[in-house]
Amino acid sequence: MADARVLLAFAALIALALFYIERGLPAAFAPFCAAGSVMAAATVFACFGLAVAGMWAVYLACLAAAGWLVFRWGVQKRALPKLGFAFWFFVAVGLFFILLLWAKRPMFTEWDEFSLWGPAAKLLKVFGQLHTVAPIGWNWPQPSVPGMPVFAYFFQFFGTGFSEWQVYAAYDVFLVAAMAAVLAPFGRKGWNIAAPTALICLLTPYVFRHYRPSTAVSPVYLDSYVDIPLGFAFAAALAIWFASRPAGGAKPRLSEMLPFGLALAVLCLIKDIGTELALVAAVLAFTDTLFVKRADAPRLKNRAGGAFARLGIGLGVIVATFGGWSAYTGVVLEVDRSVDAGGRLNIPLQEIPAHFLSELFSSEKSEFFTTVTGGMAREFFSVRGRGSMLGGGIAVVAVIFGLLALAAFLTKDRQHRRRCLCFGLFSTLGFVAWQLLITMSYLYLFKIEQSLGLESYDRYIYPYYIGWLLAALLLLGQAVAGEEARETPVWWRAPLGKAVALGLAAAVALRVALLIPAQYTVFGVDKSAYNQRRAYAQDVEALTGLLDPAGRTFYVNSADNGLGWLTLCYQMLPYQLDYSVGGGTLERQLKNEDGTLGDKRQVNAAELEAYLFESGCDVVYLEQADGDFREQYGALFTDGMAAYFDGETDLYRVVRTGSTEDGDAVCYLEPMVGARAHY
Amino acid sequence: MGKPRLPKLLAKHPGAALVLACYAVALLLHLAVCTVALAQNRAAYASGELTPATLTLSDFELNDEIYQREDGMLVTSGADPQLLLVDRERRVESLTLHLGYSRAPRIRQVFWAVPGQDYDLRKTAYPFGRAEGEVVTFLLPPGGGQSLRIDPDSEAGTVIEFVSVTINERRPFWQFYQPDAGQALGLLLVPLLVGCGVSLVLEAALGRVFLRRKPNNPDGAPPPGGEGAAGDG
Repeated sequence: MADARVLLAFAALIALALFYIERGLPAAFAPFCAAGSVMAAATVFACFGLAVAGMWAVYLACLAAAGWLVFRWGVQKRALPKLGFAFWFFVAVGLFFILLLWAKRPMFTEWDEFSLWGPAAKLLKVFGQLHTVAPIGWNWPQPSVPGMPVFAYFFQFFGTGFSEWQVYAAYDVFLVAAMAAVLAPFGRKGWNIAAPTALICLLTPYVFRHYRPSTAVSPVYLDSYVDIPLGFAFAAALAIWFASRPAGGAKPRLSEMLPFGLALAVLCLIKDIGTELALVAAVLAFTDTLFVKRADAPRLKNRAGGAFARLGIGLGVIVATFGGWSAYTGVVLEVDRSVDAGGRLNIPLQEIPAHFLSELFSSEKSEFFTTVTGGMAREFFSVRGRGSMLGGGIAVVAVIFGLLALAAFLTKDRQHRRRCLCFGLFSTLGFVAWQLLITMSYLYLFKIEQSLGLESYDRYIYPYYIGWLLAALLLLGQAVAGEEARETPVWWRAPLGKAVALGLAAAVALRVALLIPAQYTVFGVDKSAYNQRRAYAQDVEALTGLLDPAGRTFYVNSADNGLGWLTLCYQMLPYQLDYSVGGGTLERQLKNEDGTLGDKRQVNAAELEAYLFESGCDVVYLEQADGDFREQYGALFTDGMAAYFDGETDLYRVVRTGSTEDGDAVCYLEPMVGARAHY
Repeated sequence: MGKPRLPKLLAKHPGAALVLACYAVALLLHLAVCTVALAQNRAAYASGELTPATLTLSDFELNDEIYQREDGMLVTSGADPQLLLVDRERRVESLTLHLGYSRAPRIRQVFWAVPGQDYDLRKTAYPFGRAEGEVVTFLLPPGGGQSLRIDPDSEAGTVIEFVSVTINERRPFWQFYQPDAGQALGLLLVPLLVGCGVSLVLEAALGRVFLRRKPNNPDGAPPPGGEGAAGDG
C-alpha cells in the first residue's frame, strides 16, 4: 500500500488548487498553478540543500490549505465556488491516469530516461539531493533544470523505494493540469465544444510524437522526457494569459500576473530551452496588452504603460529563474551556463547568433551549413515531413492558422478579432525565432553525426507546436463561448466553431487510431511488455545484494554501446557504478588540441591497473568479457579469469598493495567465489 | 426522448440526457455485434470449421533463426525466430501458448495471413486477458486466421521449452462481450463525439436551442459582454 502515496500527492495538489480557487484564482488555472507552485517551491528548497525538508514544507502547506478550506466552507459556511468543467476534467482524468498506471506498472525504456531524467528523479528519492550534487559514481556535470524530477519526487515523497511508474503518474498529472488551463473558456453550456477540445488535448502528444505507424509501444504518457511537458506548459502559460480576461474587457489587474508569472517560471524550470518559450510567452502577453483595445484605454499610449509593466514583470521572473539556477550551478558545479556551451566547437553561447549571421550572409557557406539549413527547411516545408501525424510543419501551421482565422471570423467582438490576429502575427515571429534557435543548436552545439541527420528534430520543434495549437484552440473556444453568451447570437456562428472543433477532434482521433493500435498505447499495453525490464531490475537487485553499500563497482562490457553501462548505473543507485574508462569499453576518448573530440584509444593493462588503484573501486563486475579482453587484461586477474569463463562468478574483488608514492602500486583482482549475479 | 416522464435532473441537463442516450445506443450496438460474433463462433464449432486441438512441436515448422537442441529445448539463434503451423489452411481463432523461457522474452507475437500472402504487422493477435506467468492467450479476429505463425521471442540466445499450444478452445460466452483496449476506447469516445455532433446540429437547426441556457439565466451564464473566460459556469 506504499503506492497509495501517489493518491496522497494528488489529494494534496487538489487541496492546494481549491485553496487558490477560494482565494480568487479562476478554477481552470488552479491545478496548473498548484503543480507549478509545488515545483517552484520544492526546487528552491532543493537548491539550498533542503530537498527533503522542503518537500515536508510543501506537504504541510497543502495540509494547511485543506484546513483553511474546512474552516471557510465547513465552519464559516461560505458558498462553495463553481468549479467548472476544466477543474473536474483535471480531477477525473488525473485520477484515471494514476489508476491506469498503477494497474500497468510501466517502466523506463528510452535512452535519456537512463542518462538524465530517470537518474535525476531517482537521486532525489534515494539521496534526497538534486542530481547536480548527489553521488552518482561518475563525474556527471549535469546543469539541466530539475523541474519535472522535483515534481516526480513530490509524488513519491513518502515511504521508501523509488518507483518508475509513479514518475510517469506525476508527469501525466502535470500534463492534465496544463490541459485544464486550455479548457478555461468552457462553461456547462459549452460542453459540446469542451469535450472535443479536451479530446484534442489528450491526443496532442500522439499527434506530435508519431508520424509513422507504430510498431512498438508508444511512449506517450509513458515517458520521462520533458519535451511534451514543456509544450503543455507553454500551452498553459498562453491559456492563463488569454483566458484570464476577455479581450477588450475591464482594466487588467497586476495581480493577474501572479499565475502567468508562475507559468513562465515553470517553463524555465522544465527544460533549459524553456527559457526561450517563456520569453515568447512574455512577448505575446506584451503585444496583446499593447495592441488590443480596452474600454478604459482606447488609445495605444494609454496601454503602453501597462504593457511594459507586464513585460518587465515577465522578464523579471524569467531572469530570476534562469539567473537563480545559473548561480546555483555556478556554485555547485563550477559551470558557467552562459559561457560553456559544451558544444562541438566550444563557442560561448552569446557568440553563436553572431557566428550564424556571418555564415548566413557570407557567399561561401560550408557544406555542413547548407546541409543543416536545407534539412531544416525541407522538414518544415514538406507536407509529409517529420512534423506530426497531420503532416510536416507546413501542415501543422496551416491547421493553426485555420483555427485562428476561424476564431477571428466567428467572433462579433472586434477586440477578440484583433487579439487573434495579433497573436497570429507575433506567435509566427516567435516560431521563426524558435526555428532559428534549433538551427543554431544543430550548427554549433551538437555533434556532427547528430546534426547531419537532424537527430530528434521533431522532439525539439514540437513543444512550440503543442503550445501554439492549443492556444489557437483556446482562442476559438473563446470566440464560440463569447458568441453564445451574447444576448442576440447569430444562429450559425457558434455551431460552426463547434463543428470545426468536433471535426478536428474526430479527424485526429481517427488518424491516431489508424496509426497506433490501442495495445501499443498506455490504455492497452500489456504488463508483459515490461517483463525484460522487471527481470533486469531483479537481477541487479541480486547483484547489489553481493556488494558493499559504501563501495564502488568497476564495470566491464566488451560489447556495449553505452546503454548497458547507463542502465546499470541508474538501476544500481544508490550503489555506485564507476564510469569505468569509457563506460566499460575500456576506450579513452581523446581530445584534439582545439578542444574538439578526437579518436578513441584502448587503454593497456598498466593503465587499467593504475585506474583501478586510484579510483577507489572495490569490485569489478564483468557483465560481458570476451577473449580479446582476457588477452589484454587477464594478467591482472589472480586466476586469469578462469572463474569467469567457467561460469562460476561475475565479480572480482580489487586488492591493493603498495602505494603510488613509492611507485610500487599493485592492484590485482581476486574472484569472489559463488557470486554469479548475471543470468 | 421517447420516455413518458423525464426525471427532473435530465430535464435540467438535456445535454447529459443526449450523451447518455448515445452511450445507451452504443452499448446496444456493442451487445448486438458481440452476440452475432458469438453466434458465428458457435456455428463454426458446430459445422467443424473450428476445432479445438492441442498442438505439439511436430505440428510446427521452425524457421532458420530457431533450432531444437538434443535435449528437446528450442534455442533462438536470431532476432526473428518463427514457429509456422504446417497446416496453413487451419483456422485458428484463439491460441493459448504455454512456453517456458530461460529469460523474459523481448517481444512475443502471433501473426496470421491469407495462405500464400505475406505476413504484415496489421495482422497481429494481441494477448487477451491476464497473462498467467508463461501462459498467454491470444485472440484472432472472429472467424479465425490462417497461416498461423508464432514469434516466441525477438532475441538470439533464449532457451525455450515448448510445453503446449492449445488452439480454438471453446471460450465461455461472456468473453465475447469483453471489449479489448481499442474497443473500450471506442465505446468511451465515439458516443461522446456523436452526442456533440447531434447537439450542435440541433443547436443550429433550432436556433434558440433547448440544449443551451438562455443568456439571462443566472445559473451558469457569464454576464453579457464577458466571455465566460474564467470557466466558472
